[in-house]
Amino acid sequence: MNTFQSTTSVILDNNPTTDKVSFIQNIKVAINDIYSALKNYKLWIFMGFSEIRRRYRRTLIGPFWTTLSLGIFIGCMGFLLSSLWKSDPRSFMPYFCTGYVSWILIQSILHEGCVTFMSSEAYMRQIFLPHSTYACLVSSRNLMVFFHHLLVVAIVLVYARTSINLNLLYIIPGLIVTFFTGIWMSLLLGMLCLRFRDFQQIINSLIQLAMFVTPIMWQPHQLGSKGLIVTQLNPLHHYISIIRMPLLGQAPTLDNWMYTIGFSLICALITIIALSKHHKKIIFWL
Amino acid sequence: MQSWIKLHNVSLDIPIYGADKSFRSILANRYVGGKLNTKKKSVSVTALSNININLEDGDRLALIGHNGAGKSTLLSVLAGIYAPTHGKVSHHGKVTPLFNITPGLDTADTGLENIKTIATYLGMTNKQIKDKTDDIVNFSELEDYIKLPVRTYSAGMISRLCFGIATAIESNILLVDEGIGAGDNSFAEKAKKRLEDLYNRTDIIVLASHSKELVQKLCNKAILLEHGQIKCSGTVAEVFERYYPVEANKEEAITT
Repeated sequence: MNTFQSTTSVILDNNPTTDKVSFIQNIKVAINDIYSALKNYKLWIFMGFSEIRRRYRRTLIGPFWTTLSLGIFIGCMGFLLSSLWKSDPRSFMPYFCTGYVSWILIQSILHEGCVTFMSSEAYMRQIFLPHSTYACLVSSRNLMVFFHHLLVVAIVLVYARTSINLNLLYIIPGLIVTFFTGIWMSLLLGMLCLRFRDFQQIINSLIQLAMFVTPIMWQPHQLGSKGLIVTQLNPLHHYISIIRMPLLGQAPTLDNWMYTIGFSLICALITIIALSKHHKKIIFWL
Repeated sequence: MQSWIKLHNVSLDIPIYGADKSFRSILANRYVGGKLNTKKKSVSVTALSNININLEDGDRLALIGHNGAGKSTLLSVLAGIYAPTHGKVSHHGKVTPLFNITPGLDTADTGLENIKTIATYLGMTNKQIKDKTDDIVNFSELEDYIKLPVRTYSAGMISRLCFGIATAIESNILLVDEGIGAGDNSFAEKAKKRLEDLYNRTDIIVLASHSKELVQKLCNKAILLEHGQIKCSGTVAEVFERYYPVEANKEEAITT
């Protein structure tokens, strides 16, 4: 018997009165997308590991190549900057190194966040996974690279004879907040740059600028009273602080936590709304 | 477990971005594929309209139609890759799309690593992969090669490996775009048996194909798609009668 048939009558649910219901439904779809992606953590951790493995296959020291080049950069720039600022390398180097390593984490999430979906096109067309899976992949993969870079931090801290204390544990919530903000940013930037390809270029040049505006190579007090405003209003500064300060054996300030957690929550809200609006369209933007 | 998959009044408009005027006119002039909708601000193709499908355990559905009729698009909708513009898609049971049987194949990885990668992307759990790895290795007859990078394999070896992985899937609903095949002749018999085994343990299969032979062998139902609409549906024989009216007449003439 014929259990499927084509009907000629057109009954479509594009009735304007159902708009409000569909808005809430779309929000549910977006939240469900993020939730199911997070729940399937084994998948994106596996994907992240294999991507890192692929990148450095048949090299002797693998991902430590970036660590090595980072180490050389930090070594050279650290000494150069410390003589420029006329400060003791032993006190300046740990500050610069931890800040720069944290910056690399944030910067690479933003960079790769622009191509969250573009770089996963092959998978998106072949298999069904929640869109957020690819954002989790971007965020977690860069976190894995960050752990490699901690080797440079360890060497610098030993060189500067900085003692490590229990404040180091603050890095755990710090990285968790950064990881989640990374997911929101990868989703948002991924959607934006996918639909409007120009944004990738714009964001890349903004990131370059941001590195100099954020206190990584210089310290906020060097700018005097003006610097306080520039750094306090810059969310990147707070994100760097919640990773940098624990590594230096200091506790991040309440301000740092409030700014980062607040920023993350606002991003989460915008992401959920944006995802709920464009969830269906992402695949067509590819 | 009872599996089912339902499409209720499903329509799909595919928006086209970056289409300038000349591109629009090219599209407007073509007669294959879906209907073009230029009334709205953006250009979009109506890829599917008003599709109603209701499948239950034991159904093997063939999607038949010319190139661009919407067969692959319909499979993508069933897989959840495209969300319908209007209407509802619902299903019960695990859906596995097999459009490409080698998602994530990396020729620099060893055979064993690729089994893990591909099987993961095809939706197998770690435990299933562990249980099935020996079976896949035995079937593909790669022996010690399995520990070497896939780039050292011959084309036949790669296709055997991929076929072995794809046919190890445990799923309720399988979506296949054209048939799945593997390698050389000596292997054909073994592959056939393994494929039949997969089809037998799967509750529902939807197959998009141009091959009359394959459809007749595998499917018990069929729908004919034309310009994204269901032209007719029914048993395979009924639908083929509509699709190949001339050939059917010829056959009749020969038999009478």
